Formats: sequence, C-alpha cells, structure tokens
Amino acid sequence: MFTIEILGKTYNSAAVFGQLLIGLINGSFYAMLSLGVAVIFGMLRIANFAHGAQYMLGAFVAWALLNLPELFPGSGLPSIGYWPSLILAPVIVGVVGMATERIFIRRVYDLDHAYGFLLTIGLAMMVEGLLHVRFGSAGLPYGTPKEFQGTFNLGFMFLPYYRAWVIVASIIICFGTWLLIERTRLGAYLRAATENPELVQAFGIDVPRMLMLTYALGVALAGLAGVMAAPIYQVSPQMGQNLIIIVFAVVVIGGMGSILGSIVSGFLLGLIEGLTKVVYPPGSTTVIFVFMALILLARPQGLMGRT
Amino acid sequence: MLMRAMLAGAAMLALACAPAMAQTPLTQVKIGVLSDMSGPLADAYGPGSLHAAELAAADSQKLMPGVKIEVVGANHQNKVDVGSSIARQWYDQEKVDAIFDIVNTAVAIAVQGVAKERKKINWQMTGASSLTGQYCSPWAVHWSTDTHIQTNGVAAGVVAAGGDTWFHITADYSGTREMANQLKALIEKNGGKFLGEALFPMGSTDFASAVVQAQASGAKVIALSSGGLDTVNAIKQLAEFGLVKQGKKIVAPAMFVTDVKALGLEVAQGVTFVDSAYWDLSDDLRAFSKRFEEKIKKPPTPQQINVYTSVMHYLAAVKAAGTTDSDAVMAKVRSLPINYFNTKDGRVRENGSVVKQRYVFEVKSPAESKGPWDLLKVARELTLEQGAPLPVDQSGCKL
Repeated sequence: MFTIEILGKTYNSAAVFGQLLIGLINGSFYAMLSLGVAVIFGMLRIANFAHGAQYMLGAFVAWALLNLPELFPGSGLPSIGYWPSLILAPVIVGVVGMATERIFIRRVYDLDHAYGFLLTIGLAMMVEGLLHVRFGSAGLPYGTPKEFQGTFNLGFMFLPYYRAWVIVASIIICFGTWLLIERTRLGAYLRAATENPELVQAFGIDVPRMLMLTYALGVALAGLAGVMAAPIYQVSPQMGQNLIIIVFAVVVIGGMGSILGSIVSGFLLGLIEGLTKVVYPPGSTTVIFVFMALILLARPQGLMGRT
Repeated sequence: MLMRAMLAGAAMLALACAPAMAQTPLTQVKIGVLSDMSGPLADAYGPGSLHAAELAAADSQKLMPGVKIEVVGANHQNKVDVGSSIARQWYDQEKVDAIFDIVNTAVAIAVQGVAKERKKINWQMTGASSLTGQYCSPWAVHWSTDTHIQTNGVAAGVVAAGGDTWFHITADYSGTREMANQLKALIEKNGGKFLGEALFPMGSTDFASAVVQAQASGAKVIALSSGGLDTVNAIKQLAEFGLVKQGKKIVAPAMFVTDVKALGLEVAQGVTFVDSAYWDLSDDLRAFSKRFEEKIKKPPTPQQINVYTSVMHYLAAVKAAGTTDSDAVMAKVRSLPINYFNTKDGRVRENGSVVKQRYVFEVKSPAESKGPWDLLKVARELTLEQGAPLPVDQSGCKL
C-alpha cells in the first residue's frame, strides 16, 4: 500500500480508493434517481418531489412481491424474487405513476412551478404516511439475491458482488435512457411535444398520452432504483426522504432537465462526496450543497443545461 | 377562662392540622405520554407506549377507586421546539401531573428543563445518562437503561471474551456521542484497545464508507452507537460487506427489539445489547404481552414495558402520598421499592437514576427461533449492582 497526497496531507491509498469506490456506488443511485427527475422536468416542466416516495414504492413493491404468500395467505400466490421484480416492480410503480399523472399532475401543467412542487411533495407525504401506518418505521428486511452473496477482495477493500452489480446496472440504465430520449424517433417526438405541443398534435400525435407515458417512464426509473436499493438499505417508508433533496441538488448541478447532465453530475457528486469522506468526513453531507451553490453562482444553468 | 383555653386549644389544633387540611383531596391524576408517534422511534415507543400507559392506568384504577386517572398522548416529532411547547401546554394549561416516555435525547433534555422550572414530574425512557447527571432534576426519574448501563453491561463481557480491539460507528448527536465516549473509556479500562471511529449524521442510509473504515482498521469488535433505523441500516451493511461472516462481533448498545425484527435473524444473529425486559422472559410478562397484543397486534418492546411499569410506580406513589404534589409524590417514588415483573426490590435514587433488573441480550440464530417474535435470549443476567447506573456521587448531578 502506498500513500496519496491531497491538499498537502498524506492519506492511505486504501482509504482513498475505498471511499472513491463507495462514492461511485452512491453516485450510481444519484444518477439513476436524478435521471428520472430530469426526464420528468425536461419533458413536463414538473419538479417531481414525489420521486423519493416513488423510489420507496419500488422497494416496497419488490418486498411485497417476495412476500406474496405471507401477505395473502391461502391465495396460492407464489413468492416472486429479485430478478422478476426488476421488471415487475418498475412496471407496477409506472402504472401508479400513470394514474397519478392522469388524476393529479395533469392539472398543474399550466400553473406556476410552485403548484407542481406543492402537489408532488404533498402526494409523497401522503404515501409515506400511509405506508408508515401499515408497516411502521423500523423497515422490512430484503435479502441480497443468492447470486450476489459474497465479496470481491480488491486488496484495498472488500466489494460486495451486489454493489458491483449496482454500478454496472446503473450505467446501463442511465445510458439506455439517454439513448432512448436523444437518439430514437420516440424520443424525438417527446422532445418535440414539449417544445411545441400544438404543432406535434397537428401531426396526429396524442400529446397528453405521450406526456402521461413520459411521467410513467420517469416514475418507473425511480421504482427500478428502489428495487436495486432494497437489498442494500432497509425497505422503509422514509427511505426516500433524505435522498430526494440530494437528488434535486444533483439535477440542479447537472442542469435542470438535462439528462446527460444529471447522469454525469450524479456520478461526479458521488465521487466528490467519497473524497470528502477521506479529507474532511464531517463535511461529506454538506459538500454537495456547497458545490451546488458554487455552480449556481458560476453557471446558473447547471453544468450541461441550456440557457 | 375555660372558654379562652378551649379556643386557644382549638386554634392550636387547627394550626397543627393546617398543612393536611390545605391539601386538596386526591380526585384526579393526569398523565401525558409524549413520544415519537410517527418517526424512526415510533415502533419501539410511540403508540405502543401510549397503550402501555393506558393499561397501567386501568390496572391502577382498580386500586384507586374514586380517583379519575386520565392518560393523554402527543407526538413530539423528534423536534425540540414541538416537544417543549407541548410539555409547557400540558403542565401549564391542561393540568398534566407527569409526563412519560419522551424518547429522543434532545427532546428529553429540553422537556426535563421545562418540568424542572415548574417543579413538575417527568419520567424518562431515553438513553442519555446526562439526564441524571448534568441535567438532573429532583422531580425526574430516568427509568430506562442509560448509556452507562448499556455500555458497562456489554464492554467488560466482550473484552473478556477476546474482543480486545474496537472500532466505533457513531451517530453524530449528543446521546450517541456520549455513549461512544463512555464505551471507549470502559474498553480501555478493561484492557481493550480503541482503534478509531467513523461519525455519520442521524438519518443516513449509506454506511458503506463507515463499514469500509471499520474493515480497514482490523478491529475485532464493531460498536454501533446509534438508534432506530440507523442501527438497522448499519448492521445490514456490515453483513453485506462480509464483516459478520469474517467473525467480527457487533455490539449495538442501543438496539431495539423492533430493529432485530426489521433486520431478520439471518443478519442480526449474535448482536448483543443490554435491556431491562423482554416480553418472553417470564409468565407475568407473557400474560402482559397477551393483553397488550389485543390492541397493538405485536408484543410490547422493552421500552413499552418500561412505560407500563413506570406509570404503575408513579400511580402507586401518588396513591401512597394521597396527592399529586410533586415533592410529596417524589418522596414516595424514592421510598417505595420497585417490584414489577422480574425486578425485585429495585429503587429510585436521589438523582432520579433507577436500580432495577437488567440483562445482556443476544439475538437468536434463525434455528433457535420458534416464532415470529421469538428473537432474543439472555446471554447474561446482570445483578442489580452490575446493571446499575453510575453511583450518584459520580454522576455529576448537583441538586
């Protein structure tokens, strides 16, 4: 093991690499979550503060699918494990998102941003409160899938297989979504529909449905992140509460609505946070917000935002 | 002349009786349960604490016919300002005689201050031993295990069993910092070595960074000074990074039964902590648990059992004193022995700290567990002395 010098102080390389890798894992979650927020904001101009609750719903749905026999005894329903849940849970959460858009979100498109903010934060509090009444606060256990039990010995730290999978999956999901929106015909329609809905409608495209599907896509991404998080964090009603604030900071830094910006800044901020844990641990919870303030001063549109 | 003597005698008699006559006869007692009803501590305390107090009121009512016993509850939301303003309102306007539970160290310290200013009674269930030290009050009782008891019970045993190098993962707030410092002192006193500490803010979900530091330190024992969901997430991630499999001992002094349940035995097995009660310890506790479950649908936590016994003891003192006057009741609180469930002849000391039966619990393995709430076994039964809080003269309490 060798030492690394940062700002005139020397640190053990194991500590630095370890924290950077952890930062990358956290960055994966920031990126996956801020991606959904960026898609929704970019297309719908809604600051979706229910995103943390939707992420939590994803984890709860995965838990419920695993525990179907206990939840509905006598119904003969099978227990559905992690892999099918990776598909099923985001679909279910996405459908809930669709209903949410239809019933609530649609009504605030033409109003000031503050209304969307209040509406989504209110929805989040309701969902979290209801689940709290039913499941309590200590949370529910969700085991690591069998294939991923165990750790790699990297020399400087032990990396659980599952966390390695999270990094890989997150990169695939993030760039897949980016490709879908920036490089496909569907994505082009979407972008056009937000630029000039009347014109796109005139071409015979059902814009309201398209917006509903976009919201559902963003929400499904949150649900997917929730399933990925379930084996790492405790599945609990408040699991999304702290994260949502960081996620919005990430989106602001990346540039509100910029998909690539949110992906890059998600990973970047994870790394910065990790590095701060080595250099000045008490600052690690604030560093993202300091960074956000600096970016807003120097580049108000965010790293990759368009003015 | 005779008339005069009789009048003087009557006057003297009246004077002699004055204190007793000035006392209003006991007609009602009002108890407030101030807890975290919806946040991270609501499972271990919360609505279950309120129900435990109601059961204690119902049981005491049989012994005190003619006295109206009323129980009210409120949610302090883990906010100091909310907690202290409810306490003020209860004491000043709603004639609450004593406040119970008050989990959350910061809220507990604030409410104890509010009560002390008004010479009112409060009973604490949170961990901070400063409640009977620096912040002690002549009208306060600290009924639960405090950080000294929790750490003292565990440290000596674990060091003796070969766990001589320790790493701390500590939540960054007053109660847990206090716990970690006490633990550090005890480890060193018992010949162990303290290798380092990672602090994290309350409500973190990510402990990977702390876990990696703990792993890099090479410590044999990892101590978690934290509570609620934080402890649960930390233990889950210690297991994920393979520290449990590598044979590291995890000590979580402030672990709750609800945390064990939340983690599942597979992950939590072997974790040790100190507490004063457990629903499955004896026949009378099992019977109480059955009554409790009729409404709450799960067995009471040690904390909720504590709320029950504390309200029982308070009402017994009120009955013995024949008044709700704080000084008179506290005199009885201290003089009456504590005899509930497993505790025999415990007592409340001058600074409010409580000597009663306590145990070192260990989480069962999945194979040992026979039911959904069959979670703990007694690793060691502490004597009243071993499980006692700091001696009054060392507590730092100045009354």
